[in-house]
Amino acid sequence: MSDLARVLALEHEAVWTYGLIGGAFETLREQADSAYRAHRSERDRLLAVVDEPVPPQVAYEPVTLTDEAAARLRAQGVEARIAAAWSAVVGIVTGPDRADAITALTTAEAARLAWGGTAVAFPGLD
Amino acid sequence: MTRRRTLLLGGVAVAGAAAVGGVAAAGRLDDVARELGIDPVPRPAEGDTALLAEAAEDQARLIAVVGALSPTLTALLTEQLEALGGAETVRIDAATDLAAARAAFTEAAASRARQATDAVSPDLARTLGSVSACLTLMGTGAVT
Repeated sequence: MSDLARVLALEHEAVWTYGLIGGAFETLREQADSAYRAHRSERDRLLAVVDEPVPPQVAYEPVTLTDEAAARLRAQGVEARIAAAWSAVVGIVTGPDRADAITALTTAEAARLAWGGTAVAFPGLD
Repeated sequence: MTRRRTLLLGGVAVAGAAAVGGVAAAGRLDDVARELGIDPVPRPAEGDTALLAEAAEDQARLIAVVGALSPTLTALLTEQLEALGGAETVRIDAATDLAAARAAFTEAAASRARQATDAVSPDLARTLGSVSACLTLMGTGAVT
């Protein structure tokens, strides 16, 4: 799987995850809905540019979330893995594509923080 | 920190042989040497060494700008500086408040992104790109 295809796979997972969170927790619904729309848009953008796009899975473990704290951790985890995937892309592309990958890495890290994550010195590498 | 420093040392030393579309002349020569059965001695890409020094110097300046305003920001910036191999040698007045410091973070984030884009070594690019992301979020106030 190419690095960009790996990002796409994670975008599929993010779309599924935010649907799960929004459906399960009223208090997180607005944030989850916003995240869902952002990741769906990004997924569609990637589907158009990835050479061999990976399909979404039926579901992503764990399929249930016990409480809001678990939901927030789940969201942080997905965003952290997306940041890491974009960091890998930064290393293999050049020029404007690299600048775009850094922007995408920043977006993922901002989302991780918005879900309650702790700031780190090296987003995508930690 | 050690991991990033190791990443950087390895990345800068092996001049981007794995880079896509931006393979340095040094990297090509290394490939040729390997095909001839010679194990090339890793050496820094000249431009990358300069980028690393430039980034470290600016990180030191940011630590001075933050001063005592935020221990959290100082800790993050110090971790980045150590990974880049720099030292806190800059002596300038700290910003009067975090709002003033944020402008410096935003400016530095753009510089790190430019340096990442210019880097030959993929590992250096990833490290500088990561620092840029962190600084961008410091600039917006998402990290305080």
